[in-house]
Amino acid sequence: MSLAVSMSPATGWTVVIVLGIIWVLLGIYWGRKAKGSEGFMLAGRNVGLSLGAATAMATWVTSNTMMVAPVLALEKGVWGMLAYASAAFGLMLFAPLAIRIKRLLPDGFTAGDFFRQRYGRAGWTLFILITLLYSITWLVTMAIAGGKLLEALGGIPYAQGMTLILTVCVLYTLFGGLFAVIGTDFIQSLIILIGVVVIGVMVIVRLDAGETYRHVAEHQPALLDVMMPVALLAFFNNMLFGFGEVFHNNVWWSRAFAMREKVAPRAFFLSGLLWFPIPIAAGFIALAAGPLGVNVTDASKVGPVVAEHVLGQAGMGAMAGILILVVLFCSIASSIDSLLAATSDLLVKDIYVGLFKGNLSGRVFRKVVAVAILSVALIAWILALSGWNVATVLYSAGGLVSSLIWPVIAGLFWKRCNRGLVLAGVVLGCSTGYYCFFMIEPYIGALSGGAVSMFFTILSRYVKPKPFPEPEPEPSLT
Amino acid sequence: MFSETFFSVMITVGLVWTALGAVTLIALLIRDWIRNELW
Amino acid sequence: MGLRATVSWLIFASTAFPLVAAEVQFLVEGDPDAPIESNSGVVALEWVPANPDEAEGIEFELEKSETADFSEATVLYRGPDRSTILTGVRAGDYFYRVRTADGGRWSKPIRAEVEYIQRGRLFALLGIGLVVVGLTVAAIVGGHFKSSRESS
Repeated sequence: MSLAVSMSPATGWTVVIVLGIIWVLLGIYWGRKAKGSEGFMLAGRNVGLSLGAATAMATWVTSNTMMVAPVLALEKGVWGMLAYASAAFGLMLFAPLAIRIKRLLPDGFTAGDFFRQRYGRAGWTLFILITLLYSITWLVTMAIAGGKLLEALGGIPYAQGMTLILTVCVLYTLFGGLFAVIGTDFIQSLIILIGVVVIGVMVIVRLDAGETYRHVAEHQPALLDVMMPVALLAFFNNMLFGFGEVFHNNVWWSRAFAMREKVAPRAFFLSGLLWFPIPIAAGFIALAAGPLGVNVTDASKVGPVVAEHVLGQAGMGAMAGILILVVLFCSIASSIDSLLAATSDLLVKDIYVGLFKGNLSGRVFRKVVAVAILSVALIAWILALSGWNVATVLYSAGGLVSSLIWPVIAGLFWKRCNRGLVLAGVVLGCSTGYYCFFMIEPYIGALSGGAVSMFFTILSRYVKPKPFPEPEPEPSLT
Repeated sequence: MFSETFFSVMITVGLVWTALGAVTLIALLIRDWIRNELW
Repeated sequence: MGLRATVSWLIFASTAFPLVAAEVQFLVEGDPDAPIESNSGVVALEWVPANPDEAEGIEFELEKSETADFSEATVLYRGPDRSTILTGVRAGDYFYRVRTADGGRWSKPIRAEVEYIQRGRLFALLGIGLVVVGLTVAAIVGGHFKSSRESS
């Protein structure tokens, strides 16, 4: 059974455009608070607990959480759900890191500031290469997911739907900066949480967890096995992938800079707690496929297909498609906006100012930022149109991001290390990660990269370590 | 094999926990709004 | 005369022996006799009706058995789809066959071999995973307490 086009293209357009107009108007409204670069890029560095926790959580709920968590449950069962949920630990462990980040870089703007200060120009270059490759592919996969979603649910041609979703996110990020991103993230996270609960409860009403269990035990027994080999491997790999993503990416660092000092650690810990059950709830929807008699022909769409089946049977008709579209659109938009903002910050602060000594005073600032956001969006748009298999680039990058876990820990908590060894560990970790992903087993990419980089970083503490340079005050942007 | 009880509890807790997340966020929003600590 | 005879023979043949060939067959990449191998417990099956033009609205029936003679078989699917993804399959050999649901002839069966990663290798990798994750968490938690002691 494939995803039926359950609403007309007109309805699909209407839903996205109405939501888009709301986001853009809110973006303009909140954007008026943004005074100067600190206001625009870091929402005035004064974000409170509720908005802080919601924005971290919503950013971590990507279209992958809604689409891939069900796939993991369908293919790897109980351990698959728990493996995906373990990505929440990345957010929780970022809490103590956030405390140190605020101490070490009270006036910091991007994760690049940290890498330059701790690991010099070479470390910064490695970080920029890894994070740009990673962030752009992440952004492109979101845009592709959005386009495919509108095509599947509303019959809107892929290129049009993808362009529409990307345009909406660009507009409100452009008008409102991080204020707009954080504000819309709050509304989007509520819609995501409520949507997942509503769909999950409707599945439970049609068949309770016990019935699902008995059906799965009979027909897909390996999904319930405690010793499910592939799923167990996925568990540690996913966790380290999550650590790597969160610890290095400017999406999280800019949030840490944006929150009040006392708020940042609590908000990250809470966001992890809020995020943890979502893959379990979303995964359960996929496990219900068999018992509900839904034949799965395309694993990547199992979540929406089962959701639509259940909502359709409950007599929701076209509303079913709209509900699924709204929830998935929110999960996609909340990540696209964050990536646009945080990646363009890197372009502005690290490349334009840091590398080319560009000027950001007064009115020039908004122009430079606008050009940066539009450039990031344009690159993502072209790649999403090209039909190039970006998902593989993203999934194979586990070793890249997990190689940065230990350098971040060492840079934040240690007083000295051998910088050359740490950076050699990053390069070797990236290579090992790629080799293992493609040549041995995809489920050990992040694990092997992280292990190699960890070994070198620990070694760097004992082999000719040198103290880190004293933190220097960040030059003001305005 | 994971037991039926474990499975049922995991799913139920997962759904209730997600719902509590939404409630927590709304409660915190109201608290921050009253204290004028939103942003 | 030749053409006419052939045509009438064809008409006769198609009415008298409607089931000469299997009406449905599995789509297999590569060697059609080689089994499907899976190390993840996921088996994807795809089938095509012999005459796709007449296949609108046809329903299919898919069966699984653990023996080649299908002496004990279970119906896995009955419906119009032409593919399915089976998951959670335990290690072992399985046989699948498909036919049109109105009682057509069974297709040539297809064999799937499900074999998971060896226990020894699995535990070695899990051990590495546990060590890396454990040390990472310890480094963060330890670093956190050390730095908060120092700053207070």
